[in-house]
Amino acid sequence: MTEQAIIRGCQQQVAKYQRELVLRYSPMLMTVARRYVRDEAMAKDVLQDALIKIFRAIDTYQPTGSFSAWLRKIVITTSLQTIDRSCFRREINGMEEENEPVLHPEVYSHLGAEELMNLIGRLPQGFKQVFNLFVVEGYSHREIAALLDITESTSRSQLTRARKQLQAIITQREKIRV
Amino acid sequence: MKRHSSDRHIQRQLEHHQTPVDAEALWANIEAEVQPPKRSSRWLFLWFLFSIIGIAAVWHLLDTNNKTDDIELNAIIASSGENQAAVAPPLANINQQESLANNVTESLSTTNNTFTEQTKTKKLQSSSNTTTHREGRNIIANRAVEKTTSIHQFNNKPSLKESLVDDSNVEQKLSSLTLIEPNELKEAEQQKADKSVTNNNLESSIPMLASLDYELLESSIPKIAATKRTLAPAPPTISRNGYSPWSLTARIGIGSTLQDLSSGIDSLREYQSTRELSEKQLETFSFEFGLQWTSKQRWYLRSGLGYRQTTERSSYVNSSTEIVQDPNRIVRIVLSSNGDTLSIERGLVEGQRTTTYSKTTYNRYRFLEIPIIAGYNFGEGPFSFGVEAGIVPQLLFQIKGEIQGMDGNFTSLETVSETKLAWSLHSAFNINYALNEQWQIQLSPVFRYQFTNLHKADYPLQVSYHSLGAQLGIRYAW
Repeated sequence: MTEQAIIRGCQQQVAKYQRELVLRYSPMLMTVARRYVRDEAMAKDVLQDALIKIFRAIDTYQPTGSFSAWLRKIVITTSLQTIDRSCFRREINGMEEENEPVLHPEVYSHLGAEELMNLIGRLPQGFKQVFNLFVVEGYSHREIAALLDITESTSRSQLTRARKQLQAIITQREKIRV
Repeated sequence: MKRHSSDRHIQRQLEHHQTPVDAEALWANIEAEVQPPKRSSRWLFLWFLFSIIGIAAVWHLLDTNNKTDDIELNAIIASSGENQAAVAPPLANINQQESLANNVTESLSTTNNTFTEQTKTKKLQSSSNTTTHREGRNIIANRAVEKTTSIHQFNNKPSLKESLVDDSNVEQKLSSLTLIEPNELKEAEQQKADKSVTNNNLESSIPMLASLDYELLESSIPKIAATKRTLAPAPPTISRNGYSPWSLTARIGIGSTLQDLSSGIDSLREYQSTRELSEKQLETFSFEFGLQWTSKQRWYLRSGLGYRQTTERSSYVNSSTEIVQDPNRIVRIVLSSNGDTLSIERGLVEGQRTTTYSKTTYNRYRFLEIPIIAGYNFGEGPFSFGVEAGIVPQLLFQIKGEIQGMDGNFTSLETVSETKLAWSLHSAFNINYALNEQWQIQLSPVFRYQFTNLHKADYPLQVSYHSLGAQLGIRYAW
């Protein structure tokens, strides 16, 4: 069953195609949800809500971009709607750039996806959101600022801190290993 | 802010990473929310609703009939010492009532101003020997005052009745009367007073007449206290605006026909497809006349006689090939060297002849039917609405036309179908418009589902015809 057939079937509300969409894309979308919310149970709830939104909005999907990216964006938006945004309010602007840590590729190169997700998951909520959006999803700070309803400088500072903290977590982890 | 080289590694790792998830369970959770409601379940719900309406209407009708029977079974016997005046079964007719009143008046004048009523009902016969009954008592009282006053007049002129009952002469006579009233009779009277369902003028007069108060004596014998008379409120009538609950209906309908052709045999799928392609369903026409009974709670039952005709067009093109022999065909021509024909030899030549033919027939199934419909009306004003459903026994009395048989040739429809009793389910939504208090026109989207296979039982294909259309009707309530 091609992606086009699934999209067309879902637009016609045919159960067979809707089910196929869920079966095919849920594992990927679950990964996205897990990166943004606190725990797995919450991620499942987010995924469920996001899928309902997807089926209701699929008529508006324009096949100009990647279908996966469209699905991911809905999951991200749904995730961000469920988390507490107060973590961004206390941010002090102007910390970006000056202390930007430079991470050696070798620090990350031997880490697998699950390990990386666990490490990123240990970041504070605000750091985690910005890090995921910037590094994994490839959003710009302007887009992140619009998405999270924060300023661009806050987004930058969150990212800087996230990098630092992530490096610290990895370094600590390596020390323990040694 | 520039992107680090480590970002690309993290992105590569996480972008297409998949987390195991129970997608089937997830789908089960959201399926109900993302799927549009299924039509079949909606239809099931409607059938269920209509069934409930039908059952409730039948129950209500039976219940109403039982109440009426109770009233009609009551009989009153007035007795006075040695004299006994039989009071006619109440409400049978006015003449009997007047006869009763005459007898009672005579007995009143010849006895010691006491009388006892007996009520003879199926319920009370064994327990009541000397009882009193309000109806009888009031009839007696009224007759004693004014022989010429008819019960019918009382119904129409309650003020007159009141003035007559208040007559001092009557009070004098009635104040000395002693009545015995068993508990069972009181219960029966109480029930009767609460009932509002009556079927004739005399019945409707009962609560009106049953307005005399009474007192219990020390010996538990009630005594008529003819001092204060108040008229009980008039009972609600069965029909609205005082009309009878009965009405006549006539409906004419037309709709599209839906063929339901099926076979349990796989090898007949091709033939089934041929039939489906060659038969085009046309209109279903119907009309019916009926009698409708409407309760004051707006439930109604309708039945009558109807006619229904289902039409389809059967057409197909067929060709046949046959071997033919022509004994006069040229088989040899002898030519000279310069090309002149010298001789022609004729002989027998075999060949194939293909004949293509087409045929179109209009097939008709004609039914006589007796709709048994229950429904409920709602809405006020000239426009009202209603839902109805019911079962329709049908007699398929005529089948005309031809279909393509399994051998490829046309076959008369009568060879595959037969006259039989069929059943179908009727459901409709009525839009009613009252022209006046008696005439009403109706427009009804109607769905008819036929249960019965119209082909012969031993024919391998089953067919039934459903229809979806509209009925236009008129109703007259008298």
